[in-house]
Amino acid sequence: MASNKITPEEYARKPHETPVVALVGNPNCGKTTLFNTLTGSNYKVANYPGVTVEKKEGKLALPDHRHARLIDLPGTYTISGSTIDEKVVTRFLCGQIQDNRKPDLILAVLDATNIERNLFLVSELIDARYPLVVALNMMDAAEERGIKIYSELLARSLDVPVIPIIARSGRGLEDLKNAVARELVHPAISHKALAWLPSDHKSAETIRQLPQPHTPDQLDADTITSIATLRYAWIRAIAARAVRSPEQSLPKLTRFDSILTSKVWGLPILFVVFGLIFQAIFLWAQLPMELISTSVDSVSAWVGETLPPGLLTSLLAEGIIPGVGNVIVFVPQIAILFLCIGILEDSGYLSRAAFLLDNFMRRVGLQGRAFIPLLSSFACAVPGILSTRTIPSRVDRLTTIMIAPLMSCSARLPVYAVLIAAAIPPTLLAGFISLQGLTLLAMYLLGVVGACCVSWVIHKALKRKESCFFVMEMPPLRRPIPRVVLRNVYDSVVSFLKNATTVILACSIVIWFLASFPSQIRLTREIPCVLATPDNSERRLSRPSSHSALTGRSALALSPRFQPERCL
Amino acid sequence: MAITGAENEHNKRETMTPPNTTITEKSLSAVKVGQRVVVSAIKSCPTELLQKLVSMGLVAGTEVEVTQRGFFGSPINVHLLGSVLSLRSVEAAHIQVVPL
Repeated sequence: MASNKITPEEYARKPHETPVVALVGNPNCGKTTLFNTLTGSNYKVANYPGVTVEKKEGKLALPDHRHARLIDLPGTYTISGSTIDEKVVTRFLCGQIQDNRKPDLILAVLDATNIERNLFLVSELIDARYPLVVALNMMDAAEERGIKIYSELLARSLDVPVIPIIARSGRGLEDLKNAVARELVHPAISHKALAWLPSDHKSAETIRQLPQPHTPDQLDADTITSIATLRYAWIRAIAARAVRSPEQSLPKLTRFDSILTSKVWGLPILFVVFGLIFQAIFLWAQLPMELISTSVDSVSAWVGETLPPGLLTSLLAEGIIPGVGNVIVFVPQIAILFLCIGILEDSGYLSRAAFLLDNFMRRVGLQGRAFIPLLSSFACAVPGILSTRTIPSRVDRLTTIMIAPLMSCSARLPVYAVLIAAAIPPTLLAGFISLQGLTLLAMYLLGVVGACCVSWVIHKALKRKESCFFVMEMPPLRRPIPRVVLRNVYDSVVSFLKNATTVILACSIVIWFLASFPSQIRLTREIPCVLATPDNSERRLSRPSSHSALTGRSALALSPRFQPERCL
Repeated sequence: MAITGAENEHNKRETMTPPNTTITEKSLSAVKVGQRVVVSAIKSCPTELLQKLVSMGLVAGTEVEVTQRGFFGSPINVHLLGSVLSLRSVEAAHIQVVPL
C-alpha cells in the first residue's frame, strides 16, 4: 500500500501554505538519524521559545516536488509527560507554540526491536486523533534478534499506514515519503481511538472526556495506572497478532557491555576515557588556539598600522578584532569536546558512564551525566557549560551550569602561578612536598569543594519544587554514524559563535570605550575581555593601561584597597 | 517486609499459583541481579514519575529482569519489553513485584 504514486491533482485539493510534519518517537528510536536523512542534513537549529530545548526544522522534499516542514520533536515516551522536553512535545502537538499551528501530520518513529513500548506513544497519538504515519525503524536490528513484524497486519490493527524502514541505510524512505505525501493530501484519522478501552469500563466516560494530550497532574495515580495497564493490554493483543518474537527477545548483555559497566573495570575504563577527553581539550586544542590568537593579534596589528590612525581604527584594531578573536579562540576546544561527546553519546557509552557515576554524583545533588561538563570545565568553562545540554533534567542542567565555573579552568592557572609565587614561600614540606604546589592543589580542591557545596544547597532549595528523577533507557552499544556526529559538532560550533559573538563583541566594545575615553592622548590597549586565555594573559598584564581613561581611573581608585597585590 | 526463601527459585511458571496462597510481594529495589519478576503494582509514587514509569512499560503484568546494579546498589538496570532501563533504587522502591 506504500508505493502508490501521487498524482499532482491530488495535491491541488490542499493549495495553501507548506504543511507541517512533526517527527515524534521514543528516545533512541533513530529519530534523529531519520530526520537527518529525510532533510539531507539541511536544517536549522533554534530553541523553543522560553526553554533550552533544541528545535530542529528542515525541509522535507516529497516525491512530486512538493515540500513539507519537518520538525524534529524531542524524544519522549508519552505525550502527557512532565519534563521540560516532554512538555514541549505536548505544547507543540496542541499548537500552543508561537507561530506553529497544530501539525498537519505526525510521523511516528518506532524502534522495531521493542515495539510494544514504542506502541504506547502511538496509542496516545491515535487517541488524540492526529493524522499519523508510522515509520517502523531498525528493521535490520529486529531481524537480527529474530523478531518478525507483519507491518500490514500492524497497519490494519492500528488503522494507520505502517512503513518498515532502516534509517541508517536509507531503506524504505521512498515508501515513507510517498505515504507522507498521500496522508498530507487525504489526512486519514484512525478509527481505533480508545479501542483499548473496554466499553463497560467504569471510568470509560471520564477517559473519553479527557483532553488529549493531558498532563499527569490532571489525573490521580489510580487513573494513570489503569489507563496505562489497559493501553498495554491492547498493545499486547496487537503485538500477539502482528509480531512474532523468539522466547528470549531481550538483548543479550554482550561481554563487552558487561565489562564496560562492571564494578571492577567500569571505573578504570571510565577514567581512561574521560582522561583522554580531558587531554584532548586541555592539550590538543592548545596549538590551534595559539594559532588563532597569534593570527588575530597580527591582523589587529596590521589593521592598526595600515589604516590611518583615528578612533575608527582604534575601535577596529583594539575593540572589534580582539573581541571576535576572543570568541573564535574557543572554537577548537568546543569542537573537540563535542566530537568526543558526540561519539560517546551516539555509541551509548555516555549512558553507561551515567550509570556508573550516578550514585556518587547523586550525593551532592547532581546526576551522572553532569560529570563531563564539570570535567571539561577544568579546561574551560565555556565548552563545559555548552555541553550541559546532554543532561535531560532542567534542574540538573541548571545546577551544573551554576557550578561549572567554580572549577579552576586553564586560564586561571597563570594567575594562580603568579599569585602563589608572590605570596607563598618556596619551602619544602617533609623535604619533598612543595608548599607552592600544595597551594595550587588546594586552589583546585577549593573549586571542587565549593562546587559540591553550591550544588548541595541548590539541590535542597530547588529540587523539592520540581519533580526530578533519574529514569533512563540504556541504549544498546552501537557504532556512531560519522555524518551525524560531525553535523552535531558543526551545529554546536555555529550556535556558540552566533550566541557568544554578540555578547562578547558588545563587551569588548564597551571595554574598549572605557579604556579609551575620556583620554584622547594615547590610545593604548586594555584587557579586551575577562575571558583571557593563558597564552596571552601575561602579555596583557604587562601592558601599560591608559591611566586617564575610565578603566585606568577606576583602577587607580581601587588599587589602594588591594595594597598587597601591588608588589606584583 | 518478611522475605522468605520460598519466593525465590521454587515457584516458577509451571504451576499457576492457587488463589489462597500468599505471594510475597516486594519492591523492585530489593530484587537480586539475575532474578526475573513480574510487576504487580506501582505504589505511593508522584504522578509525574508514575506517568513516566507506566509509559516506559512498567505496568502490572510486565515481566522484568534485573540485570545489573551500580555501586552501593544504585542505579538498577532492568530488562523489559526488549530494552534496558536504568533507574535509581529510590524510584525502583515504588515498584511492587512478585517473583516469576
